[in-house]
Amino acid sequence: MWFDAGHVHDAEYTASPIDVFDPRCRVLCALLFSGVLASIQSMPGLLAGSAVPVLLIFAGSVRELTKALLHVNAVAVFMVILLPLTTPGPVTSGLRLALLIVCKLNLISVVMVRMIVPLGVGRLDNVLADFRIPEKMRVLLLLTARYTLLLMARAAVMTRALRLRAPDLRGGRLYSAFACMLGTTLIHSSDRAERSMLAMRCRGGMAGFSQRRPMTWRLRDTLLCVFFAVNAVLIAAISLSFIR
Amino acid sequence: MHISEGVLSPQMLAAGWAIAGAGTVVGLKKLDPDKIVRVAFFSSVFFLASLVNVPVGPSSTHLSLIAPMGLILGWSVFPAVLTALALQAILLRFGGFLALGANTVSIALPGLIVYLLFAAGVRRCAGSAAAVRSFAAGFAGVILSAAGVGVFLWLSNPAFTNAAKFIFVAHLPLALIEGSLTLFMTGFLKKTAPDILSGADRHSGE
Repeated sequence: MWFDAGHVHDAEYTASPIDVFDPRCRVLCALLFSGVLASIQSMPGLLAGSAVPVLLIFAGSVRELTKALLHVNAVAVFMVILLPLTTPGPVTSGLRLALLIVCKLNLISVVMVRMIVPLGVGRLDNVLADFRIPEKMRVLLLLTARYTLLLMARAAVMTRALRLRAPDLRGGRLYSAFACMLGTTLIHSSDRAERSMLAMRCRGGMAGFSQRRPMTWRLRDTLLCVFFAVNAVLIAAISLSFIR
Repeated sequence: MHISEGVLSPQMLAAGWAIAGAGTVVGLKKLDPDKIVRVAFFSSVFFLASLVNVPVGPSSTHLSLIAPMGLILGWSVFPAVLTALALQAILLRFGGFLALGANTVSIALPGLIVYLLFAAGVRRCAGSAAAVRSFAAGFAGVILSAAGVGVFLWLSNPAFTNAAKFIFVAHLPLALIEGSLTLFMTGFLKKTAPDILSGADRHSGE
C-alpha cells in the first residue's frame, strides 16, 4: 500500500485575468456552461461548445492546466479502451461515444479548473454563504479542508513507519496491520479534533468562524454572465438542430 | 468509483443532485451540532482513503471506506461525502462539480443503507456475530456503490450497460478488501473507542 498525496498541494493560487470577476459570477457561469456542455450529444454541438473553453485555456498558466488535464484524462484512457469493447454494435459506435465523452470531459474540466478551482475553499465558502447554503454545511467544508491537511501529514508518517517496520507484510496480516494503524490514527486525531472544538467554543463558538470577505458585483460580471448565457443558448441551438 | 464529467446525461445529473440534496438536507438536520467536528474529521478520512492505493493483482485500486463511514456517521454520511467529494474536485480534480450529486448518491446512499441494516447489530453483538456483520457491511457497501454507479450509467445511456457490468465485476476484489478492513476497523473501535460507533445523529446511541 502507498499513500499518494503529492498532488494535493498543487491547487495553489496563481494570478489569472479571470480573477477580476466576482466569484459568484464565476461559479454561476461555470455551472451554467458546464451543464450545457454535459447535455451535448453531437460533434457539431461540441465544436460550438469548445470556443469558450479554448479561450479559457489561455486565461492562466497553461502548464498548471495541462497537469490538471493529464490527471483527468487518466480516467478517459480507461473509457476509450472499455467503451468500444462493451458498446453494442460496431466498434466505431463505441469509439465515437468514447470520443464524445472524452471531449466533453476535457471541455468541462477546462471550465471548472479555470473558473471554480482557483477560488479555493475559503472563497468558495464566501460564495456558498451568499447562496444561502446552511452554515453547518459550510463549517463542515472548512473543517474538512483543515483536517484533510492535518491527517495527510499524520497518515504519511504512519504509512512510512508501517512500511519500514514490516516491508514484506502481505495478505491478511497487511490488512490487519493497516486497519489497526488507521484505527490508531483515527482515534488520536478524532480526540484532538474534539479538543479543538471545545477550545473553539471557549473562544466564542462558531460565530464568525467563516471569515466573510467582501464581494462586489460589477457591470463586467453582468457582461460575463450575458456572454456565457448567449454562448450556452447558441450551443444548445446548434446541438438541437443537428439532433433533429 | 467516481463518475467523470461528461458521462452522465443531464437528466441523471439532475436526479443525482436531487437525491444528494435531499439526503444532505436530512443529514444536516439530524446532525448533532456537538458532533460536527467528528463528521468533518471522518469526511477528511474518506477523502484521504481515496489516496491510499491497495495492490490488486497487476493493478491497484483505492479504498472507499463506505461502510465505516456509514456505521460511524449514520445520516450525516450524506453531507460528509458531499463535502469530501467537493474537496476532491477542488484539490485533486477527481470526479467533478456537475457529477458531484451522482457521485455523492452512489457513495453516501450505500453508506446509509449499511448504517440502517448493520449499525445496530455491529454495536450490540460481540465476537464472530459482530465480525460477520462488519464484514457483510464492508462488502455490501462497495457492492451497492458499484451497483449505484452502474444504474446511473445504464439510465444515462443503454450503451453503457456492458461497461456498467464490467465495473460491477471489477469491484468484487475491492468489496472483499473493504469487508476485511471494516471487520478489523470495527473490532478495533469496539475495543478502544466504542462511543465512535454510536453515530453522529441527534440522540443516536442513547
